[in-house]
Amino acid sequence: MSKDKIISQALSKTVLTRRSFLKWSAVLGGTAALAGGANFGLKTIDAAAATESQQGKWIPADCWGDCGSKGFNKAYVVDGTVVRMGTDDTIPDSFDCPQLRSCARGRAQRLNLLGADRLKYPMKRKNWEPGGGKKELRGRDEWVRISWDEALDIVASELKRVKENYGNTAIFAPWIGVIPARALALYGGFTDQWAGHSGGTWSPAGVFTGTGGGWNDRYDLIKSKLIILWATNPVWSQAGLPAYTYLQAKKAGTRFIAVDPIYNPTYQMLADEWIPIRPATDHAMLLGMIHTLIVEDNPESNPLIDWDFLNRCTVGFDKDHMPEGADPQENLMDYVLGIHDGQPKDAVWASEICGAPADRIRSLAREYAQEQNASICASSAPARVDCADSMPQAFITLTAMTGHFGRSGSMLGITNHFGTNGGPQLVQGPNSRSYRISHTRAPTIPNPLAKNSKMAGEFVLVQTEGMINLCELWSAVVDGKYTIGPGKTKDIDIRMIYHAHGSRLNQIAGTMKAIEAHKKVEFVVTQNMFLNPDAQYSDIVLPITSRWEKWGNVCTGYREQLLWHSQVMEPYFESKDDLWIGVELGKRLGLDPKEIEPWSWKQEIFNEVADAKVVMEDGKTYESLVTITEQDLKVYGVEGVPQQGRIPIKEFQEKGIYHAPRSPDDNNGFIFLKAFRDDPVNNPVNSASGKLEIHCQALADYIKQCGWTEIRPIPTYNPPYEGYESTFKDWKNKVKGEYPLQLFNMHVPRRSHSWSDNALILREAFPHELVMNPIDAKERGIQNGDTALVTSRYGKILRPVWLTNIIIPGALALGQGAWVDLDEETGIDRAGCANVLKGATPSGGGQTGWNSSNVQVEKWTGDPLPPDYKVPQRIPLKEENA
Amino acid sequence: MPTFEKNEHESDPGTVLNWTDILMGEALICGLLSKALYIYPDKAWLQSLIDGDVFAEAPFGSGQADIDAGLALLQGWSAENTDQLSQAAFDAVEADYMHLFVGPGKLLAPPWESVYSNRERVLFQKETLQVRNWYRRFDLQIEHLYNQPDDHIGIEFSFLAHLAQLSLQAFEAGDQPRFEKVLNAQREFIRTHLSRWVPRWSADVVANARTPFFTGLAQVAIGVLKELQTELELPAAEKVIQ
Repeated sequence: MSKDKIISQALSKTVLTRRSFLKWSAVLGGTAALAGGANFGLKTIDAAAATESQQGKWIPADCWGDCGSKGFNKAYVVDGTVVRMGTDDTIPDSFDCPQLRSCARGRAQRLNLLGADRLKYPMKRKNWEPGGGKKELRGRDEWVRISWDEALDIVASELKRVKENYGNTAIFAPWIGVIPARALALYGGFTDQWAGHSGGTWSPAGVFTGTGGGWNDRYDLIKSKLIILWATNPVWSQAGLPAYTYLQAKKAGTRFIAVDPIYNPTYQMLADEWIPIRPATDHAMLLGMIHTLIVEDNPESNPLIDWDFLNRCTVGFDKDHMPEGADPQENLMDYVLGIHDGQPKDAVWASEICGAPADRIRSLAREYAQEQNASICASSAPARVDCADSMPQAFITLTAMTGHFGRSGSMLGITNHFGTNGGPQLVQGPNSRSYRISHTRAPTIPNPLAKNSKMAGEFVLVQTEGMINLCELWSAVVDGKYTIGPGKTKDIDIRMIYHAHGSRLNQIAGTMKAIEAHKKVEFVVTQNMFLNPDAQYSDIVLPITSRWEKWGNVCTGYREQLLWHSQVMEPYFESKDDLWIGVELGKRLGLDPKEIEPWSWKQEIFNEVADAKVVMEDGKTYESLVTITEQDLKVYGVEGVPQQGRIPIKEFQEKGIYHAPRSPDDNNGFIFLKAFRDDPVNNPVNSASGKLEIHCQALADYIKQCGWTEIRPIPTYNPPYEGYESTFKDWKNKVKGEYPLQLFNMHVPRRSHSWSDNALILREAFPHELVMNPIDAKERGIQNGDTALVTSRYGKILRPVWLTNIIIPGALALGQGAWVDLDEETGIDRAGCANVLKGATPSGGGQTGWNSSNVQVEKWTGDPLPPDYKVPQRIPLKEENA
Repeated sequence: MPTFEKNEHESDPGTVLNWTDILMGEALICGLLSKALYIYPDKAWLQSLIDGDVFAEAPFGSGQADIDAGLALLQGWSAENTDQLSQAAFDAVEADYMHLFVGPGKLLAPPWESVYSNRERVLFQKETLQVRNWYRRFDLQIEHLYNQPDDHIGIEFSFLAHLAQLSLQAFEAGDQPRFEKVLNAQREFIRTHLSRWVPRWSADVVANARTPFFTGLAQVAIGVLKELQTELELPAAEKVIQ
């Protein structure tokens, strides 16, 4: 290049560059602004304030996934930034006082809450307008960031519009929780849901029969010589103390037998033997055991039945022990022996249904009956089955007839929620594991639309006028009616859906119907931390703070602990808490903000701490947990009165956990139903007769009143809509039908329900696979790791397959909680959401039959699924919008 | 080594870029990147970019391939909207900003350094603390301290614009120690932060953006860092994120 040319190029570059200065300065507000750093995200501060901070501190950090367990987590925070997680090291670890250590989910909490994909700003679906606005685009429309004012104005005006035009019943807010419900309740109320998720048919059974099962103290549990683990897997679902307690029993020589379709990690750790049974056939197996004991018992030569206990403490076992007014023929023994129907419910009959060998059913019954210190420790999984309303009574009957209630080393424990550790709370405080009944002390606000409502947004287990059953949430929206009794329905015209706190669209049976419902209504709003499926199918999304971003929270651990978590970080971007949203909506709706939020959150938490009580050495009286001085009140800036307690308030806050001391010979031992067993007349259980009701008319009446199916007062076996029997089109000749396999749902370590699946590390560590036996796979040409298409009567999903002998042939296991990722073209869910397969088919007491769906599986011929950790949790924007 | 004497060339003003030109240009181009990437799209401001014919000429790094390519895209976008920025054209920019940087759902090009520095895509990490402390050394703090991460791409470029201005002030005041100190701060901040993650971020924008507006800006961003590499004679970046 010639020298001239170089000069000429340089000249032109310089001239152009300098000419551009003016233009560029103009659009940046002048160059002076840049030197101040003031315009674009930065501001100048005093040099004194600009000190670098390196020193961190540990802050107790809450976890609220509602797994039922409780680990203690803490966060190491440097200058407002959580750099790592820790757990309980506040005491040395021992069986007397075990540390509450974190599980993988607790430790991953930081990754969830600080994830780049969390909701940051209020947002509006681009095409939404009053009345709906291209409703079919819900789930895949564009989003526009809006201000809080605009978002709240829209939500308030929609509430007004819907209320004025269609009435409050048109506002549907299924289980939004007590805090978000306050403003809506004051505004005239809303349509809510009823029925339990977790307890299944144990919920009504526990109300009417006299027991829902119960646990002895953990020192007593380890005295069991035999523990039958029945459909339970605390290693995964309630990581923490339950499995640890079982392990102490194992070390003490307890024999463990597992009854389950899957040989899960809890059994892998503990079990001496696994008796595989088919999903949803527990009731049949229990009847086979009961039959064995009835026919083999001889009080003299072979005592298997505790007649004394049956006589004193139960009704309905045989015709001589019937409750007043009952038909004497309607007794359990006649039914089991087949006196009136000609079909003995013997081990051979049971074996055909449940798949366990008849001999093993018999021998298990004998082992259990002959062992004085034997326990059945179960989850409520067998009760989360269609038509299983009588199943709990079969467990109660077996336990009662062998005398294993109210006796040391024996129990019928149902669910490991707080479990393997029964007895009164030794440190008393609120149980706020999953959601808060709070401001606990704030005057409650009833939902005017729900009969006898005391607190709107509360979890309601039983059929209630004005509320819709869990299995009819979406059909009520789509079809405009819901069941209120036998042969009776009620019309309803739902125009808007309000989501908070939960994950209804994904976590309730019938996800495909839920999507249809969400596309039908005029307005959907969701307040959440993430773009969960509720939010994805909404018009307005409001980002909310987690408990890490609030002043604190108080929650019980097991019997022995109370936890006080503190604020870990400032609100993530523009997120706000549920109560603030309620107050702001309230202002726009003409409500009194003071009624919605009577006092600050800090005051509330302080009050809870001040009220916390701890048991004294006598095991009976309680004293205050914390000492509070006048100085403390000043420091915290709260109202209160000084008090004397066991530890200084500051110490409790800094440690974040208090463990009540325990020892084997302390005064805090507990045996469930012992007082009742000792003196049932003076210590009756809560049933019509005051006894355990093997014949329970009240339960049968309640189930009938719900309106779907009926049961007899005694625990007769009723096959589920979708159980083993229904996999056949010809049961007698054993000819399989269109959906020949049984799929059940599991709680998996990757998530607690639908919570914590955002953390990539959990997605990678715990794959979400379809668990399948190689025998079933071979027939279908499926290899380990292949992608499979699973089809039910209600939907289709794709999942990679894990072939393993830990599952019984004919059964498939799928973790629940994956967020639906629907391909609208094919109707296939790529994320493996269990409720895409599970239809909402109400039966009995309105439970959901998650643990048996009939499905077919085939090898997927399209592109195989990539591993989940390489797939974004959410891609709401499909390519057609590109 | 670039020296304090770069303005020696003033004997031939107008032909060779001097420190004043370089630093002024750097401040402007980083300032524009900052505002366009950090501030939520604003129709009036976008209109002013078009009306001001801003993308016709670069204030910095003209001739650098990525800057030229990026500006060409931006100029093309400008030209398409010469008369007036239509609502549709604005909506496209807004939607693109949402997809890439805001969500909801998976962000296609998360605009924070820490997300690129850990495989968990997590905000508020050690990189956030490091840049927060960088800002503090110059008596600066982000607007939404503790609510939003300090290591947003727009704020890091804003900081660079600020350092460029400080360098310029020191230069014009003849304060050589101060000039060198600030220039070294620029070098160190670029080497340990921007140069590590902006290449990958820029590639994500280019791969996912649906408007030439953001593709152009991402190319300009990478071009600016390359040009500074030359102008400031920077050592190679530490462990560039792939």
